[in-house]
Amino acid sequence: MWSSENQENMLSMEMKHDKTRAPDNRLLVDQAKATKTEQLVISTNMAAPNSSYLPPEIVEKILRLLPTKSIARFRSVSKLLFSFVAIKFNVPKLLHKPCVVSKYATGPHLVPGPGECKVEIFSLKTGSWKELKNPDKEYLQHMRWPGDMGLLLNGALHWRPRREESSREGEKGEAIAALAFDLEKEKFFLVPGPPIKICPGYGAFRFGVVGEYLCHSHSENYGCNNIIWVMKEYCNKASWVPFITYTSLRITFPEFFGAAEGRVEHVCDFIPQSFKDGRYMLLQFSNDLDVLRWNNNLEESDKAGRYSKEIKVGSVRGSLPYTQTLTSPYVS
Amino acid sequence: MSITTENNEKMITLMSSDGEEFVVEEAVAAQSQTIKHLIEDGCSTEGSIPLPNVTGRVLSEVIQYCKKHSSSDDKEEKELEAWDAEFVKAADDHVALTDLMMAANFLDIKGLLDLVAQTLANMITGKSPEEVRRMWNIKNDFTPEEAEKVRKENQWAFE
Repeated sequence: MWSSENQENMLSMEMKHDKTRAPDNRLLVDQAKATKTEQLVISTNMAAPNSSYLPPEIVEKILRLLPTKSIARFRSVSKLLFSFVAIKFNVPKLLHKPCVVSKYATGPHLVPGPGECKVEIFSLKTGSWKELKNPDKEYLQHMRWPGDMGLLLNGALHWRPRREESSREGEKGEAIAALAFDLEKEKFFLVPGPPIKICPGYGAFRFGVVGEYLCHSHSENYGCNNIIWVMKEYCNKASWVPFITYTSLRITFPEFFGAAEGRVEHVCDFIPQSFKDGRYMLLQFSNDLDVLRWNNNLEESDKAGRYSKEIKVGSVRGSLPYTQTLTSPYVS
Repeated sequence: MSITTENNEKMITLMSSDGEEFVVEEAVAAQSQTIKHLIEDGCSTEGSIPLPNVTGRVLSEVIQYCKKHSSSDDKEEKELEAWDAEFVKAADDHVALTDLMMAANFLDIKGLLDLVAQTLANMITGKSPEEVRRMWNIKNDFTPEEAEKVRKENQWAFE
């Protein structure tokens, strides 16, 4: 704990909600009590005499501009900064709720059916797997490929459903965009898909998360028209809008196929994936990966144009979204 | 002290914490939301607006920024960006930048606040905890046991 005579050189806490409290009554709080903190003051006697305190909003503003690793390093600076990062960046919440990845074991078959699959959840908090009791097996039928990496959005993991489920009508006469699992309630649910007319030449679809939106893409006319849809309001079927349309698509086969250029022999897939700030989109055409810059504001983008090609990455075998988090795998 | 310019622009006098006076056009001073509200509330009618949190040295820098940005409507965005880059470069070190950021925060000048925050964030990125402590004179108050625990939790951040 800190004593008041050392305040010149260290962080001190001030309970601002009690304006009548004398300044020497500053409180020092440990991490458990830190949520009550409203004001954080950092003493900086290196700064000019009239500006000896660094207000919390300034500390927060700088922290929010730092990459995740730098924020984590900031936690090691002092106890108060440790607590400050914990409150402002919701670290205790992350540590106390199970951080979940899913593992589907299906026995000998790749496609799970009722009675032969189980759901296990790995918690970073406990460092162990637990089996989900009585998972709704109806939903698990929609699982396309056990072991698919779930995409995180809105507190839920999303998987691409089985292909036939997405192109045919779903259980309530609706197309399904994704099978989702609510991490807090530990329940499965289905995300409705965009209103797509299935016609000859309809092709494989993919879905992804860009920024705060779920995306869905499909091809028509044997790959000549490729459309990416965006769900503007989460789980609202009526909010799907076509976002990007590619008409003529150049397909370059990677070199290991033995041909540099080729005829369109199969419908290529899009993998829209999110970058940190959601302003970029990663698209995979067949085995070519491109980075597109896109306008995050859906309303504005109607006028200003929705995307421009930024970087051509070239041939890849596959891609996965990568997110940094402050949750440490070493916490017990 | 002049009251109007040749364009009949209304002038405002700002007084720093160390008693320095700055006469600026109202449009320049109103880049600060804090000053704008003070003017709207009629606090500027008598004499000058006192700014007890800002020294003359810092205030002159702030005014320099506000002048540039109040007359920037017809300027190229790129030119302004280059000017901003030179401006924070001239502020020299993190102490001056911290002062500038606190002034921008108090005066509520969003553009300046964002600019300086980004500059400081760039300075901090990649710095070790010890370097951050030295930068802002923060005392390491972890006990050796606590430090070890935090180090273990944060190990990935140093890899």
